[in-house]
Amino acid sequence: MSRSTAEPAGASDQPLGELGRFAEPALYILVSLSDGPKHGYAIMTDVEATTGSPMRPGTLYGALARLERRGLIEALEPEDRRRPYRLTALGATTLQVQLDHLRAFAQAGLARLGREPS
Amino acid sequence: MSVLLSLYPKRWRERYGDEFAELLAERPPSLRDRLDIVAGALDARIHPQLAGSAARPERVSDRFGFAPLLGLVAFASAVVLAATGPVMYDDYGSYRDGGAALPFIILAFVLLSLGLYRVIEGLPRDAVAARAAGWTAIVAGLVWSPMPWMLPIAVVFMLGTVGLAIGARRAGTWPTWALVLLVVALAAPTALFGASLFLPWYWLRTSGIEPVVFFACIGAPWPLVAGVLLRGTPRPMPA
Repeated sequence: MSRSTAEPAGASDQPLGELGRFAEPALYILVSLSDGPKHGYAIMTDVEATTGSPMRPGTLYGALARLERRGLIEALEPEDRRRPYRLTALGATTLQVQLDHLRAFAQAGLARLGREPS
Repeated sequence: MSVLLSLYPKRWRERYGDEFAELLAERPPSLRDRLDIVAGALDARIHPQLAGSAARPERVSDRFGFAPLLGLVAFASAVVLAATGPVMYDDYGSYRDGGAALPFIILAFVLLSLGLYRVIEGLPRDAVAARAAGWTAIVAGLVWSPMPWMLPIAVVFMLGTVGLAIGARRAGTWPTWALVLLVVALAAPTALFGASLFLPWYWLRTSGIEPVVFFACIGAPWPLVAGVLLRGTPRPMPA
């Protein structure tokens, strides 16, 4: 994966929260692409299978456009009319940071509940 | 499907249109999907993400736009005061004394003149005709305000305002929609006034309709000038 030049180095430190209502869908998309390139419909079905919640078309492409602009994902050559997307190096780093934050948050919450994971 | 796609900006359709249409073909959208697509299209227009698609230039709002906005309040107050003034009787019959409205209508035109002046200021130096039209509108408006029964002066004011708007439209500081609204709003009372001068349309003058339409429509410059100024003009590109 080549590092995109659309964002300056260090952008992975920025939370996806700046994406507003697209932050959560964007995180789902990054997770979905973390095991390989997917096109729009495959991302939708994968996110639905993973989260149990549908990802709707307008939201999907609103988040895709934001991720692509920030260099977190990149489009590959179209296959027929489908265009696959893949994670960039910057996207992978950003995803890692986000998941680390979520893990720390989950651990803190579980500890307060007295259910600290071993 | 094409209707939903057409809601998106052209640049967006060029980039994502094919794959988006393919997605919708693979998974026909439900009602909630359709609503989500409409929201997505709106988002794509307000927050374009494609490089180079931030086509709407940054605008510089002119706070002088609040002057005609306040003028609109004064104008509306004047119309209400004039319409509800005490009934007076003279040798010719009865009429409503609208004297209490005079200070408000004068104030309304003073405030509008500030807005018109700012529009004139935004014109290029070579827009001589538009500047002349603008100054004509200002002078005619200020002259007309203490004697609103002199309707021919109001017509001069309206023509001057339209002339200024046309010049500003050419200079790119007055949007087309505002010009159309202005022309329609001012053409209606002008036509009514002209028609009422002649038989068999003279009944317009005696029916009481003419002043209502006239004053309702002649109020158009206040919100339009305010809107144009507050909406702002495109920020000039740095040299």
